[in-house]
Amino acid sequence: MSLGRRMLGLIRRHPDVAALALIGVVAGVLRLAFLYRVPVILTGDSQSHYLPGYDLAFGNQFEPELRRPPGYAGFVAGTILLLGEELRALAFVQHVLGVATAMLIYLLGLLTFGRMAGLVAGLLVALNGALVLSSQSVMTETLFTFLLVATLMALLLAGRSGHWGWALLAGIGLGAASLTRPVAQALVILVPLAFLVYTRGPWPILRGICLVVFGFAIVLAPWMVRNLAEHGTLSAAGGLGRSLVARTIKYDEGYFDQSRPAADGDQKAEVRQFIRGKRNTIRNSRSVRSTQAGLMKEFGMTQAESDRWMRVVATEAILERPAYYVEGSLKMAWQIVLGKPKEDAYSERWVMRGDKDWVEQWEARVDHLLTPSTPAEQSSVETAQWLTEIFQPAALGPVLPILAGAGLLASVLVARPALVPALAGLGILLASAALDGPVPRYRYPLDPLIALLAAGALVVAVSWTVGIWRRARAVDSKRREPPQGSLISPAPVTGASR
Amino acid sequence: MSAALRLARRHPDAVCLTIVLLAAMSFKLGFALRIAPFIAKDSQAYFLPAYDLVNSGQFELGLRRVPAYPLFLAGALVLLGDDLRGIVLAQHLLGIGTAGLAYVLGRLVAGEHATAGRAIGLVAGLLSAISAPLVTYEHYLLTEALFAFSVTGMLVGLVWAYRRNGLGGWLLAGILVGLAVMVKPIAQAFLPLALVAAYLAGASWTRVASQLRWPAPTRVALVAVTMVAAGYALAIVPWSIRNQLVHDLASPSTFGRTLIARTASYDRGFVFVDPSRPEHDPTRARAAQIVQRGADRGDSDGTIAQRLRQELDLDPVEVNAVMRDLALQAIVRQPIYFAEGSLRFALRIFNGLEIRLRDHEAERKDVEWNERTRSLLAFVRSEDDARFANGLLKLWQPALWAPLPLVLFALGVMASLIPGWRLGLLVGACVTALVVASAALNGPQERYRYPVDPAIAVLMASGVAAVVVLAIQMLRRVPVAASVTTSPLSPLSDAERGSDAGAMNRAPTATDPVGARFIAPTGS
Repeated sequence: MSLGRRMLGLIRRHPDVAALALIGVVAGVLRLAFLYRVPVILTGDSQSHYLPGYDLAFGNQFEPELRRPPGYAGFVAGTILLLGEELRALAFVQHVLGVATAMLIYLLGLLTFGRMAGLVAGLLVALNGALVLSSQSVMTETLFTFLLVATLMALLLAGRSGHWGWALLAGIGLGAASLTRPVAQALVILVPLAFLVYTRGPWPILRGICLVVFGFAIVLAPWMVRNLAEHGTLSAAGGLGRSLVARTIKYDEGYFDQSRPAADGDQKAEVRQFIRGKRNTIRNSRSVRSTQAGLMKEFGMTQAESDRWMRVVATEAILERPAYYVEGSLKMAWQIVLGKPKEDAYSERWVMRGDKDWVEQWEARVDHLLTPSTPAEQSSVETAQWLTEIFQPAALGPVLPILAGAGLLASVLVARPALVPALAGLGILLASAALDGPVPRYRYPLDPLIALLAAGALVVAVSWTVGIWRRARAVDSKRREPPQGSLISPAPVTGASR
Repeated sequence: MSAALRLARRHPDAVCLTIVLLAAMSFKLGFALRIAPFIAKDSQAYFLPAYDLVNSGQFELGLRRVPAYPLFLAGALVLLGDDLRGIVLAQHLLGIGTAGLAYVLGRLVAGEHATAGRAIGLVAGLLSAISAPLVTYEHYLLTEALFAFSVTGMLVGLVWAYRRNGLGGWLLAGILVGLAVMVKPIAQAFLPLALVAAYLAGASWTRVASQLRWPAPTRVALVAVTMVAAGYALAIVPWSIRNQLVHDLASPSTFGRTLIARTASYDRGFVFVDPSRPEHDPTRARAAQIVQRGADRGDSDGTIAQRLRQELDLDPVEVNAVMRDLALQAIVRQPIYFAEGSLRFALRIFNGLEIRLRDHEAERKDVEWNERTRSLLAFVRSEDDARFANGLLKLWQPALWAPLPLVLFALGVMASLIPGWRLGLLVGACVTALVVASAALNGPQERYRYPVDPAIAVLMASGVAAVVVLAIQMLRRVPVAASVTTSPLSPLSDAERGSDAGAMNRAPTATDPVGARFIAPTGS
């Protein structure tokens, strides 16, 4: 037997292993080609994510900001302990997680729309330039994406198998995802659906939900208790006030228009006036950090108090115009899924690196980690840019989001388990838009789910088309068949008669 | 969890392989991403041709160099960019593959006894995964990492071909031997062993006396030998043709300089100028004096070669020929001394040297790196990372346990005499051939052993496994089982004769207690 035939036979016997290997190789090679051609990308938020992890690894005081849950810091600490403190080691592990995410999406596709949809989605994730770029950045997106997809996978397996282990794992995954980005807490409401799509029995559903919630709680509770003791707030992270102010002032100009002089002793009104006075600063600067710092200084507040007052003031502003808020949030959600091709391009990041001197902004103890560009990085800008452009979801405009919408509809009709990832993606998207704003990178964790739904829609459409065509052919051939018992059969069409 | 356990029980080899690969990954990456790449004197001779090939399309390689490693470097540069850390990362990934191959080799060597095979494979794979010499030389811009991968792959190919005894398998084995030669010419020592293995696998064991049999030639044996030779030729002929066209020398490499290294640089006892037998050719006489002077002063082979080229106005091919002839002449004059010295060097290579991080980091200081690639050497060193990496190197250093590895290796070779485990003899012969050939043709460079460390680990593990099996058998007082030889005249078992292709997947049975079938004497 020839080697080719043997290989084909092997692939036919183990199609999932072959598909996973293909996706793994494509994702791995692309990420390896990227790893040393591009410097580790730092943004303004990178230090606040990285430094607590660094301190944790080296036994320094572990003091993350209130708005930062400890998930990513723990991941950074683990990476430093395992592979060393060089930032590229962190990027390497994130690329490995990127490969794992692409492979997990295949398995998620297998559980929902079938093998072909999984393969297409897996390859789309493997080649996704925005995800590759985010894996090279010191930011939470890659870890969060992996945890999100793994959690959804475990949740579906828990619903399908009814096994307690998967349910507990799903809960732990959800807790870990929430400790990486608090927005994942919104997914708790989807837990019953994962069991409902497979069973109607109340006991398996109840047992599954309890196990997931238990797993979720054992991961999240210690940190919440710590926040209560430290900051007086029983939450996983205390940044909601700050992000709501960003949502209502930085990304939206329809709030805080009117000046309302505060009466003496009315702290809420004073805070509102203070924030309103800073609205231009907020719109022009990168974050709300300086405004919060100003608030703490002006009113003698702690981090938690200032965040709570910001939340109260922003919520009040939202409640004054709820319809406008909903409309604005939907628009922002659409902006997030559309993405910005410029934002996802490497050349922009390279220019940004040249423009800004990040070295000055990092604290002295991690200063040595910021190294100048290597010759490989300097000479590889075009290659790296090309690597990220092989597949850029934002370059396709609304195609993928529309297909994903179709996938959501198709999941209702033909692939109910796909409702879980579909609604999870939708939930995170709406929560991100409503609670924070149209930050382009918020799309990255959704990209695998968008790819899955888009691939699912395509596969369903193709299979429906093929089905209709086959039925039409069958009807047609039935019509052509001679009636049973007929003595005279139609004359054969010969070349001459034609 | 029970599903995972069920899966593990259904695929024990996959589980063992995963353990080995995970151990290798965490160990090697934990080292790789902490430390700047190591550079040795020879590094540039491989790196520059690769760098030029990628950047200017020119590929100029020294006469004694073979192309596989520079081509690997060029591939790594194309894939990962002009960054030496990317190259060593690729080498460490190759090292992870080597650890996986060590598992497969151990699994195959133990014949049809699945449990023993898995235990041997697991131990060998884990030792290869955490081996300090292997991880250190994967971090160098030197051939060792690629050579270790190709040699272990070649051994797996040979053992697999022996078990299957199919023509395709032997062709592949020949190609793998040839590819190993394209990484390091010393691998030519494996060719005779591969040919003998191919012959024995297909030969008919004929009785010549009551207890004596010899492998009579058969058509199958001769075709197998031809296939190995053809595969080998497929791999080396293109480069030999290139050498013929460029250097007028139709061979993959040369040994002139390495022989001078062996006889003049590492050994001061050879005589190149013998007054009792004067040279008639004045050029040869002058060359002998230059070499003798270099030997007396302890010059390196490179320095001696440079003097020969400059003072005698010779081209590289002529220099190589002169060096080869003078070295061989000296060896012929003192054959016993040469054999004794080579054995001493071989022992030194086998026992190895303690690996210390600072020694390898410091080696860069002696290297004069070319100006156009100097910028690639800029790295930042972290003391914390260096401390941790140095700690990793202490996990498994065969040299620190000497002579235990040698004793266990010998035990493994002896265990290979047990029917069913005899493919270990082939592995042992390959290890011995490489170590002795390196010692005889080049000198006591400890790093020459490292590429066969996975194979040594296999034999060490099989030696221990044989002792354990014997001990269990003695404890249980298992009655001697019937022989498993398929032919009353053949000293080989089913698996060794290639009639048991499915042995890899066969689980031990209740009627086949540990070792019972393999400890049994043959030819009863």
